[in-house]
Amino acid sequence: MKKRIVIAGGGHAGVEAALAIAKLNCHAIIITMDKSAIARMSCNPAIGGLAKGHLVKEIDALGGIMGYAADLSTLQHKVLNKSKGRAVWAPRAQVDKIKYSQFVLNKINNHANIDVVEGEVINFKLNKTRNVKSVLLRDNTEIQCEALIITAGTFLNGLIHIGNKSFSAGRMGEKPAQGLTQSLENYGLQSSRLKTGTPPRLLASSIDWKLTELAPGDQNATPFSLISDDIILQNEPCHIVNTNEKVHQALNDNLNKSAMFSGKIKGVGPRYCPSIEDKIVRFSSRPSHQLFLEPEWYNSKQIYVNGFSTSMPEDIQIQALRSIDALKKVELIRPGYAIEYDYIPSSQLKATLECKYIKNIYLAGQINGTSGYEEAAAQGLIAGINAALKQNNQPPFILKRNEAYIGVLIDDLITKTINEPYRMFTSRAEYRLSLRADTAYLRLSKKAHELNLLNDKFINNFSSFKNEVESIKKLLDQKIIINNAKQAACNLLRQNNASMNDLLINIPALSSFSKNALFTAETDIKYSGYVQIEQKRVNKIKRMENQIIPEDFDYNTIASLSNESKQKLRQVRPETIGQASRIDGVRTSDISLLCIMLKQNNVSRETL
Amino acid sequence: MDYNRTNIIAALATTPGISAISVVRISGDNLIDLYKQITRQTDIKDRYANYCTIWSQDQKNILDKCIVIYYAGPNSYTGQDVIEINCHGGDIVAQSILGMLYSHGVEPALPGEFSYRAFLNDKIDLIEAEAISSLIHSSSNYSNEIIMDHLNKSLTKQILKINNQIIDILTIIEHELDFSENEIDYTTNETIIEIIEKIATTLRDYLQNKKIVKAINNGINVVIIGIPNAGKSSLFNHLVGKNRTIVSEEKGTTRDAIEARIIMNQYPINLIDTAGYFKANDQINIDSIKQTMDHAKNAEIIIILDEKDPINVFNKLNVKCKNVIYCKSKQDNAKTQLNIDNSINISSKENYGINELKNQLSTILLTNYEYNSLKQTALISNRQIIIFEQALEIVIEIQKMLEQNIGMDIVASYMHQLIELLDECLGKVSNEQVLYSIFNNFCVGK
Repeated sequence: MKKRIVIAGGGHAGVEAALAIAKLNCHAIIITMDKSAIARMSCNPAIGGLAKGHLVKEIDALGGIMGYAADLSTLQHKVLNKSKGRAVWAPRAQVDKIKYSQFVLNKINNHANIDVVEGEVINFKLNKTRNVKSVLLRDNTEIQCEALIITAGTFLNGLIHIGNKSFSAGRMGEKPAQGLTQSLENYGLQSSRLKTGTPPRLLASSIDWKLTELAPGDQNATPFSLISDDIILQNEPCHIVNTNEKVHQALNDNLNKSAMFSGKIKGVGPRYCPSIEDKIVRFSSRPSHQLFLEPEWYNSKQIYVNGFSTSMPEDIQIQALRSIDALKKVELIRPGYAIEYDYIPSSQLKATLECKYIKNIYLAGQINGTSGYEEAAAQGLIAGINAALKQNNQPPFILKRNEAYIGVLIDDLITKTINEPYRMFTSRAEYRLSLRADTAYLRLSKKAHELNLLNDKFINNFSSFKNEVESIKKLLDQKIIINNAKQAACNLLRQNNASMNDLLINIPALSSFSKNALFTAETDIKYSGYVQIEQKRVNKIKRMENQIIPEDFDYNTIASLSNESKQKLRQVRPETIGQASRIDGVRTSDISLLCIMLKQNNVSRETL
Repeated sequence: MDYNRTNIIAALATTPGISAISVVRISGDNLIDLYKQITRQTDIKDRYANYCTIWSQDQKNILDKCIVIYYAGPNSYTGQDVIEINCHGGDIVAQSILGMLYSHGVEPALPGEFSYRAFLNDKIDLIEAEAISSLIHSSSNYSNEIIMDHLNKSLTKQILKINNQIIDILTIIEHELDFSENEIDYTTNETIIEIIEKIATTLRDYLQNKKIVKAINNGINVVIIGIPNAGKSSLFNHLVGKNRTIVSEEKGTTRDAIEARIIMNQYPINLIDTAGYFKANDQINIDSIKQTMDHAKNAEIIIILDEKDPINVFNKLNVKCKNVIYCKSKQDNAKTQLNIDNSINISSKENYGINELKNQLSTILLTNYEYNSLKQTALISNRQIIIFEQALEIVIEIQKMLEQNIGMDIVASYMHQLIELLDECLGKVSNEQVLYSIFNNFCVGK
């Protein structure tokens, strides 16, 4: 019989976990409170964006479903940040939410190795060695399992706030999950509160579209996924309106009614995805903010107001929005709201996302303090892969900071103190130039292939992509005559504004390659010198990254360790010296001391 | 050599030899018990000069009666518990106390091990460690001033200031990279260019003095060259002040170059006496002539010695050197110290012309290695110089990129590199090799 792995929650983390588990020949059981809510996009109708687009590419490179599902349901696709360096170019797609979840749901339902059970996990049981052995549902059903992945999203003791009203809910219109936090705490885990928000949804017919500005996607955009080569992406425009003094006035006058400002919410909200009331207070000198009116699905009558996340009372939301000309007669389908929920500070997890002190329980997604579909999906994928690998007695799959944004994400989660929702940024990656979106496949797909995570079509497309990139680079080694001087074609490419197009006359063979391969080869050549410098930095710290700290290491044996460092190290229990060096508040000199002690105790091992 | 141990260590902290008092320094975690054992005292106060009896290991004999000071960690030089025994001078008392400590299981300290522990316990940063090392080896008051400046963290502060400036710019750049065009307002490159230029100037100011710093660290090479029997060794002995080389009438007595460290105008000088320069047929002399040529090439100052025509001898040598002093040797009956061609008449036997030679030397030293310019900005180790040179290279690269409008993602990566480099200068990045080489230069007891 196949090993059974239960996944509590069917969101973006849950589905990636289930699909990975299924591929690795274990049996996945998704337990969700609502079967129809699988892979639901609860907030913005978009996949990707700054740094998140990188994550989507990496998920795709590892055989995840997110990129392909987004391509199939794209309304418009656009590469953001194109005025800046290529390492921060970020693909983003606005998608049809209904189509997206429908496609993923079908995939889940039709998979022989995945079952979906409707119910609410409220507790779990451990055996004597603190291994999980079963989960308990609210209706008293007990489901035996070898591992459990909790992907609870915002559902754990979820509490919605709109102005001074508040009520328990997991999302608008859905029940919260109560009991699971308590169970985790009973087994020694600590929990805390975070909050996030979502903007109001407008009735499309109440908007004066003539007064809005058109915002189309890119023409001939490239899809996310390597297997989407036969998909032609839609290009449905969305619309832009701008806030003005009157809008700001309406909000300013009522700040005391905002749940986030009145002190009613105890959880900490994201600094980076601030509510509109946050923005007008913090950037008070800006007379106007852009709002994107995005359709939630094709021909949707429901419009998402990107940039207007709020927890103001409904009437204030309406009053503020109606101060914008195009929205004079606007009506809300549902108001914006803030939601508070439990999360489990993720320093209690290993790099595999398994709990340090409970065996075979993994946490992924918002429960770890992150925000965003992409961050959740990435964690779900890693948790799923590792839960299954462990059942198959295979070594863990851990991505390092220099290998992937996913590696940066998880390393940050397990070493840093997360006290506001964690969103991915390119600045979090110290090896940003190597981790470009266009290199995701070259960085990761070989590993994914070795783990058996890729389907045949992907493998085919990957090998031809790889061969193409190599052939192009070889072609560009040849010397050509440009400006009366003979030089290698790739040298010309390294000049700031040069591109492959400039070389087409001299090397016509280039025109036979795919757009993707040409772009990657071109960028690789342009960045190669800089990437080498990054690689030197990686090599410098390699030894620290590979030096393991034994799980039972006694920090008390180092008398001269500073108290602050000692406390942090004992609390987090890092797995490697590299992790230890990134824990907030641990001093460099203490890291040196720790290295020395590990050597002395003869417990250091070079692994990985 | 392994600094990485946690034993209790002890060593003589003062120079061995005859002196009024000697200081034995001990460092380790929790020294109270040891203190009690060796003194039979029970009430031990922190930072208190305690007059005690020091007992032998078998507790039968008194080794000394003297002042003992206990510094409880972390408020001590090493950050651990430290005991300093101010015993009676001379080697015998101190050695017997050390012997007693070793029999209690205390280990002899390695050179620099106390300071290494101070570094590990965050009591000093790497720059202070280098300053301490230089202070021990320093030969002049001028360099002491610079070293004290470093001990007062002026370089540390400067590096932190540069780091903060870079972080400020990076904050702006990273912010702009991480938000899309519609979310934030952009700053112009001008501010960034301005700050980077300031940083470049600071780095250049420090590097301006690298020749002097290297000279202070390594000594200034002054090489004496001449044909055999020109009197080189006599002059060398005269300048060094003792008979170090054999002086004989036989041609080519000095086969290998002989070197002595002397101090002149507070500059450390490596005075080098070379083998006589002439056409030789046998292998030994060919080798020593080659050696002489190497010394000549690395010389900061060359003293050419010849009975007849020193200028001609130098020209035949075919070596480039800015500072050459020409001496006519064996001028026992000379009337004037200085000739028209600016060469000096010297008689080592009569002590004639030596003062003029010293005057010329000191003029060259003072014009080429002016200490005053060092006051504000000085690096004291070759390691610091190398790091600052690398930092300047990166800064220049950044300036070029800003001019050419290269993507900010790449500029940011160079800035991160710069921060890491300067952190390395402060010792914030652990690098065992660097640490060992710095602390190895220390003497025992420090």
